[in-house]
Amino acid sequence: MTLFDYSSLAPGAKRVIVVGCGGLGSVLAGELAEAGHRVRVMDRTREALDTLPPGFVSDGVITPVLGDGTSEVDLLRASIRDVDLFIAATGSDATNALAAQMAQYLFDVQTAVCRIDEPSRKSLYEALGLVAISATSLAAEAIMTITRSD
Amino acid sequence: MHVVIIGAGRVGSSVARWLVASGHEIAVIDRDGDRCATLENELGSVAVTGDGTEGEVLARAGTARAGAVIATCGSDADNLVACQLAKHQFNVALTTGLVRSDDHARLFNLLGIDAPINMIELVSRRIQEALPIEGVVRLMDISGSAPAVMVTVRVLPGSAAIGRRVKDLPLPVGTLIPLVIGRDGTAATPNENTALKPEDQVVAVTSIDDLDQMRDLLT
Repeated sequence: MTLFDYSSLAPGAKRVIVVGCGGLGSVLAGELAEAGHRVRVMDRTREALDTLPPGFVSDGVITPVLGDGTSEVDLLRASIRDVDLFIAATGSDATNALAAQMAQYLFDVQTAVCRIDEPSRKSLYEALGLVAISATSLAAEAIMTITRSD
Repeated sequence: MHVVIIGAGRVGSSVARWLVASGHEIAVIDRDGDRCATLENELGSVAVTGDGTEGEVLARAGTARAGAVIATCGSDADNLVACQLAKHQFNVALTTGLVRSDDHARLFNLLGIDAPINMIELVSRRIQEALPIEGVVRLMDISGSAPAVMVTVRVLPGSAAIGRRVKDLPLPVGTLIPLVIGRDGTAATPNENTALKPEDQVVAVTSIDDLDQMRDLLT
């Protein structure tokens, strides 16, 4: 038995792993599920996973996986070998960089995205071929857009 | 040489002492101001308080002119980021970092960290050396197009190699025996007449693929 039943997966839908079920991770998982993707969310604590939208979890669209996103065994348990997109969204830049590089280099995941807030690290990981996204600079940009439109 | 050490814990401080005693210039980065102060009391103004996984802090520690960066934090993730920043943003020639998980050791190698130190493997190897159960102990891996290892093989009592001269042993092709250490601890380079005795430690450089053959030959 595989972790997921993909038979009902709509065309264009992606299989996604999100590491870290904090504010960003849980909201992101909900949005991805809403858009028709299948999401596995990894976190080291049960409490964090309990914040996932219960409807999607009971429908099997979102699957919580209790485990460490920088552990090979746990990543395999989350069936990392068959995902299209990997998103490392914990609160730690270093953890995100490690997890995303494991996905990219050890498991050949097509696209690995990591949340990297500190600017010097962000440019490094972009140069190394990861998609690095800074939550703080995105928030700042959004606020600046609002300021300009006023 | 200027060396930047990240982490002023036990490993970082110990490496720092050794480098200072060997006449090198060092900078030690740690987030904890108290640790930095303790180290400065002992070694002078070497500490930089800050996060060694930030480019700005690495720059303050003089990473741009460093010959080596050594990451000794408790977290594999921090050590990886520090080494990658040092390597790619500061072009440091030698980066080395502690790794505590085998999964990560493989990744560190793959990502070009020059000399990752796999702590679990290191400790386990020391234990193997301390316990004379197994005849063959790996001392050092020699990387290259044909990976080789330096090992010591203990000549066990009853081995067919006892009494034979080293030069007459049917060694695997390319194997070197630079040293034979007797039971009493006397070490000598084997010559024409060196014959093996029980409990001799034979130091050999051989291909990884030939280890079993060496074991069969000597133990």
